[in-house]
Amino acid sequence: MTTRRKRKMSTSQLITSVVMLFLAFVTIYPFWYCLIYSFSDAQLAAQTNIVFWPAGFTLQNYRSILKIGQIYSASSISVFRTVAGVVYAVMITGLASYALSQRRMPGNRALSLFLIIPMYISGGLLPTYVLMNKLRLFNNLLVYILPHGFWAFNMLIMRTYFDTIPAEMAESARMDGASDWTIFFRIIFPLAMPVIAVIAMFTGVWQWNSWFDAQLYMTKPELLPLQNVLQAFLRRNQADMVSLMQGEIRPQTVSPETIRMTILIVTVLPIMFVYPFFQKHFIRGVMIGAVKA
Amino acid sequence: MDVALRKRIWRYRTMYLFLLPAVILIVVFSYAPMVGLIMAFEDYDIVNGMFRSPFVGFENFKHLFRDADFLRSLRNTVALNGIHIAIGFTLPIGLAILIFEMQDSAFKRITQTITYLPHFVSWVAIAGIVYKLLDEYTGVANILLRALDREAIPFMRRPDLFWWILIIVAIWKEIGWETIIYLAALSGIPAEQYEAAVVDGASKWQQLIYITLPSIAPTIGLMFIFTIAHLVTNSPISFGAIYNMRNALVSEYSDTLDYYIFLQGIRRVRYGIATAMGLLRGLAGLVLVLGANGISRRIRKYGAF
Repeated sequence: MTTRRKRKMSTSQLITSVVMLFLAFVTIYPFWYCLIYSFSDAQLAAQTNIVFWPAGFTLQNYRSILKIGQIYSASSISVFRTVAGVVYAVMITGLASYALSQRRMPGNRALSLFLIIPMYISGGLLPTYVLMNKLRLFNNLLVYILPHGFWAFNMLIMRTYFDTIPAEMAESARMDGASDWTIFFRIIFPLAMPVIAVIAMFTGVWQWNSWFDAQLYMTKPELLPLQNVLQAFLRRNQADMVSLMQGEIRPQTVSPETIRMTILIVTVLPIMFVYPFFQKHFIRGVMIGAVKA
Repeated sequence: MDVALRKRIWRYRTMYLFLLPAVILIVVFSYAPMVGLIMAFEDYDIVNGMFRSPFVGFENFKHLFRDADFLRSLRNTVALNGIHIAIGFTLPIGLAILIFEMQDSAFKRITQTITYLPHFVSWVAIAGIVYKLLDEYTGVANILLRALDREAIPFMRRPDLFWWILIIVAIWKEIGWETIIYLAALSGIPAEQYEAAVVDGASKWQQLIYITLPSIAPTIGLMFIFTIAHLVTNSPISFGAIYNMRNALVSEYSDTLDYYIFLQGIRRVRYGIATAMGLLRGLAGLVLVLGANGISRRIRKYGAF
């Protein structure tokens, strides 16, 4: 704990504090607005101006979105693709990065180049679209997972981290008769938790926020993740929305607007809770990755 | 193959196995689509597929350069990215310097953490928020305008405002995240330099100009090159940004190359044209990357960094 100094703030410190306060406010306020709107009574919301506080506190909006059938499938799919996607990517990228950190392996440079080049050259949207079709990945949940096991950027971060692990650790284990698999899973992997946390975070956030692949490759609504449901609700007009919401709708307390804000909060909240905890790790990850690039 | 090499390969055999999944993935999902680039030179139709559709050489490309919408998408792409860099490149630097000057405190940590937030939120949500806040009747922005006795502005219906709104939102979204690099660079400056300067009676301003800025100049240079190199492939003005923020009224100014590729390829099923555009896009990206790489190498050679 720093000792409390006498309250003599220099002008520059004052300006900085004001700027930071302003920035924090400008950043938080839009989300706060959506939050209070989601707790607002729809009729009151339409009549009064909502600025800092909900108009008539109610949980009706949250109760109502539970009546949207798609919410359940969409939530499950979002969670599924996030968790499965992270495990899949960490495994594949981790193994590959560790292998590539073995600089004396024959073909290391060629393999690295082979895996990194696609960061800069790609087939593009249409060829990829055609490929997914040919691979029968349309309307297939695997399309959310399979293509995303390896991103060169993540590999660079992990490889740099593995470089910092002293070679003696693997060496002494090898002399004790341990296989490469044992070395990787028993020694390297536990040591790599910080960088794994970074990759898990990057991948997890990307999976959770993904919506375009769903739009491209899925025609069945029950295969869409949460972001797409949000997108659909943001775009539809009133009549469509009312018909979308099955079950009992009480138009007095609920409106397309409040529903939109509620779904939005549901999609944003998990991120808001998770990312502060990973802050320390991803900051280091970004620094390492950028230096490499 | 000599014996020593063979032995080494055998020693690393498990490593090759470790690499196998990644290699398979990259071959299937990154290299295989490149074959599809053929479509750029074909009058592609689904019935004939990739290998039997009629070959038309550069017809698709010639057609593109006569297409007003395509040219407009190029203009929008260049303008949006250009303005975004012009305004948004230096802001994170300034912010990082400000944050760095702050005394460590809960206030500092909390506000910093808050600034990272929008980076992690999807454009779907952000666009939804922006539309809501800028709504002509219920939006907070217009509530404020009306309170100040001004006329309400239908922000998202004004083509002339779209670029500015998008750029401001894009900057807002990424500025916190972009300070991370510069904060790292700033923390690398030896404290003794500042202490010596203070002893010599240097003001805060002088310290900034003579110590801080020159010290992080290499980082700034590299970040600039990095930004240019990734202009086409990984710009903050991404497809996701455009798709979610655009609407029919502002389309003349909102639709960028990426969006136009999507429009022609997926919506209008004109695979040949869309692939041709994709190819151009890829080439432009490649030129930028190689060019940026070349420049950064030359700079480093001259010992400035």
